[in-house]
Amino acid sequence: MDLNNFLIVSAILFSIGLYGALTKKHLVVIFMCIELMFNAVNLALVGFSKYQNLTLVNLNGHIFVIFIIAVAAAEIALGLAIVMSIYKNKDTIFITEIDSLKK
Amino acid sequence: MNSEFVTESSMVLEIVFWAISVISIISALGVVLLKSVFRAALSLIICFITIAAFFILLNAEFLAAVQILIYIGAISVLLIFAILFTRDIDIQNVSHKFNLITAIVVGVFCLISIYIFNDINIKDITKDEASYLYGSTVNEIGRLLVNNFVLPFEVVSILLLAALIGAFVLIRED
Repeated sequence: MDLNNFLIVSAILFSIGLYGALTKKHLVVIFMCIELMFNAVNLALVGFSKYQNLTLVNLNGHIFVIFIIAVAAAEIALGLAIVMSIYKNKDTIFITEIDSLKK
Repeated sequence: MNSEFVTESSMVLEIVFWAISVISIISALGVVLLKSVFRAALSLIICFITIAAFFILLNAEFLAAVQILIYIGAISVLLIFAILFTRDIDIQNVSHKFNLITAIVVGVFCLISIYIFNDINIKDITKDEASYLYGSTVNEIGRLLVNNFVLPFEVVSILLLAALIGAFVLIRED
């Protein structure tokens, strides 16, 4: 159970989230995949924070993760508000059908 | 603490780590592969729980609690609300037509990342008795938040307030 293992799990989770965010059509599923990528990055940051090569204990990685969680909460609240208002106005949730800027 | 006990407990930790890893990756795949959007959200919640378990393995108890409170308690509920408010009969977790190319590119990215991360050689220095944190991490995090990181802390509070007001303005009935 070294740093390598945590980083590999984090990379796999990030890749799955990236694949989902790039290929899915449903807006809420895209938000879910972005949350998955946030979580993978948080895992890598906490891993680095534990295994860093310092004599004193340093928790800057933990602080970074707290700020990422706060920004992710703000992002998901605003994003889902936008999703709801798009659904109210356009009656669709698929990103391939939301193309009014192209017309 | 004798050495036999230490090896036995680290082996238990290894087994726990691999079990959590497998559950985490399977549930993350479930988010992408499950046909029903609602089931994908439930699978995402399992993935959040395993991330909290990883945080506990990494001696980050406070972050594990925050993960459970915010991600599982708040963000998952918001996601499920959004799914239930926007549900039609035929809405499913579908991909568009470029998914094979994207899968190949992301797979290559994943393999390169694994190859690079496999070479990193950092030993677990926290096994030294001297570098153990005394008590929990909460004291140190609180001290850092009001000393070194007080400006980002205030900026994040303004950001959360702005997000709250913005979401309310976007969603209200005119």
